[in-house]
Amino acid sequence: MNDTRLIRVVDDDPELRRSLGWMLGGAGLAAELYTSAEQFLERDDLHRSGCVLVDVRMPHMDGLELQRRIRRRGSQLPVVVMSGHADVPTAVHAMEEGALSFLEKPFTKDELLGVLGRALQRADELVQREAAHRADLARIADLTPRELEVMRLVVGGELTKRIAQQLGISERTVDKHRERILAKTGAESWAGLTLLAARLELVSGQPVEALATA
Amino acid sequence: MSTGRDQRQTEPGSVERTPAFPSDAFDHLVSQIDDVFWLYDCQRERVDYVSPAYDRVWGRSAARLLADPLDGLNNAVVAEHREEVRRAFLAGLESGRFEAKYRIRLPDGSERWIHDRGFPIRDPQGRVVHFAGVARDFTERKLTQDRLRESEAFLRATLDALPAHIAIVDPQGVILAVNRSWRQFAECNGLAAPDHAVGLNYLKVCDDAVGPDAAVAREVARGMRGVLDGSQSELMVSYPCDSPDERRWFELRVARFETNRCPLLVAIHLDVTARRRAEEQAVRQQAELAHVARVATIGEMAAGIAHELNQPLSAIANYAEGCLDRVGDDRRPRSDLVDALVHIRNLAQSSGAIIRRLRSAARKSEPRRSSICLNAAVRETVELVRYELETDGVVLEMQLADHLPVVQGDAVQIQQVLLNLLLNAQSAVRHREQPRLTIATRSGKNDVRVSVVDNGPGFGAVAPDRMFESFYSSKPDGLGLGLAISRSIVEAHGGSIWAERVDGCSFFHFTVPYSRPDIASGPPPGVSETGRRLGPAQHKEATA
Repeated sequence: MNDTRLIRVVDDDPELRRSLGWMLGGAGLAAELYTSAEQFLERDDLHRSGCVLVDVRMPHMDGLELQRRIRRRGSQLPVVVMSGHADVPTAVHAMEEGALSFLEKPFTKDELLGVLGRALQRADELVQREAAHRADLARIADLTPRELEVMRLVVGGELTKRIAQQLGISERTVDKHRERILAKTGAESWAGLTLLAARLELVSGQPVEALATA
Repeated sequence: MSTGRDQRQTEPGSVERTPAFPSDAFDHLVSQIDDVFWLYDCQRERVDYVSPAYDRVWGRSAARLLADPLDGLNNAVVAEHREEVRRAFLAGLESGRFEAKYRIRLPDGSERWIHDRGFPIRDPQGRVVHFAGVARDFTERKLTQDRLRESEAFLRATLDALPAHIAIVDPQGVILAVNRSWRQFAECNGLAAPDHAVGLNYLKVCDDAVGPDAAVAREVARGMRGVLDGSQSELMVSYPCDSPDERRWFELRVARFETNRCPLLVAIHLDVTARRRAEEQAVRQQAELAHVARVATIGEMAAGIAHELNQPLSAIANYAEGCLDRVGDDRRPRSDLVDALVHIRNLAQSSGAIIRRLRSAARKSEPRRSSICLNAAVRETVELVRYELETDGVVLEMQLADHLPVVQGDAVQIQQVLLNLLLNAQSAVRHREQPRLTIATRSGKNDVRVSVVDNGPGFGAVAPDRMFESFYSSKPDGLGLGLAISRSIVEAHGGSIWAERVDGCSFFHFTVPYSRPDIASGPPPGVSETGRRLGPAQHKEATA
């Protein structure tokens, strides 16, 4: 059980909470149990991969509100909402708010594991996407602001002559920048750099400084 | 009639010449006396003397009687008595004793009753020479006696005409007399002998009763003694008294009345089967209506109840799945599995309890009376609505009194009242800032009071009493039956229910008496009792 992904169970019903933990443990999944949405928000490490399994109906803060709070904290942790009722409006609402799935109690282990499987897959994707993003950022991390400026203009389709004019430098200097950019980012061609810039949304004219500090 | 005096007055014709008694004094004395004295001469067959009262009583002249001894008989004594009086007189002359009661008609047409007696006066040889007599007007007494007799006959006829079985009982418990209904009842039940139970000791029969009737019989005996010694004014007991082919109910009332000699009891047994059936019918209808309302209420709670069942069932399934995954894994400690299985068992039991509660609340049953602890009823009902309360974040406080007396009643119906009040209170506070309910029990002097308090918005302009009317509802989807049915239930239990608004809180109170003042008269209608057969039927068992 080297899985680092953690399933957070948030349910005010102690038996349901404990039994879910017991079942997930039997299925080889790590679970953390929370008695309330408040306790989750107070203690959980949102950076840890996994998903949240939350009862929609709880006193004080309900499942939907918890999902809202998680998003507000900038986390994309997948949320699975459980409900004791076939309450269609609540289910629709939950999905609209970005819940990954809606489980009606009582559910079977297979149903739960199926939904959790999808949630964890989403979590893995998030992890990978984040890793790729970090790698992309690492490639441009050593570029000077001037080099970033030149790169943005090059991938934007500007010719060396126009760039030199725009920046008030010589065409030779522009060429030197281009060579250094290729070397620093490890790109083999400008086509590859164009894709990297697109992933980092450099083309849209976003201030380079903001990107560098992201 | 004193013969001794007769002996001293044996001298013929000596009455007017008694030496020691001056004749004018005698005349004066005699004129003051309303009794008529007469003296008849047997030899000459004529009236020798009649006192002045004759004129007054008979309304006829004494002279005519002296002239014709038959004047009084033929012209005053009414025709129907005349022959009888004549014979009695002639027989009296023979036997030496005459006595007759007869009616005379006066010249003015009025009539009087005369009691006439005569006795012989003998000469020294012992021959009867005279008959002396006293005739007394006893009209007044006769009328009084007649009236008394009539009144007795009237009373007897009245008693006999009554459908109730009535017995008169003396202070020792002996049955002195019974009326016709009692006799007929006794005959129908094979108890005619001996003497329709007259002479039996009612109290002793009750004291000696055995079997299922014993408790009621004992209660009757205790009550009758209480009525006798004046510690209670009257006794009223109802009891079942089934005949071989039908179920019957009787009511016994015992009251005391005074006679010159001693107090007597009149025990009245009335067949109240018809009334009882009507009452039972009413109770059944009320119970049916209550059941409909109860099912409707539970229907409204269905979602909550489904959820409440879902939770343990889901948990059971989860624990079981977890066990299945682990059961083949020898590396795991067995205690883990045991722990989960214990949870499974407990959850299954608590699910069963939910279903039992639900079923008992929705149960359709004959109204059934039992001892109820209201604290337990409150706890049970709170369990039923727990989910509803929690969902709305309602805080419920229970203030249950210690040592609450047990009350008698139908547990399901009492719980229905509690359920109605709790759900009403919950719907009143659910949208409040800090929804809060209190349910409290308290022991009063004669009753137990249950109060449900909420901090909801109150009744508005509605008079609190109106809320207990049928089809009044503040809820858009309400049937408007909850409080009306609650009231009918509470009142059927001898209690009362009311609402009030105090310090921003709505109070709903109801009471159930725990020592009913009429407890001696048996449980209220529709309620089964253990006592059987009293009154005439009781004697059968005792004498059999």
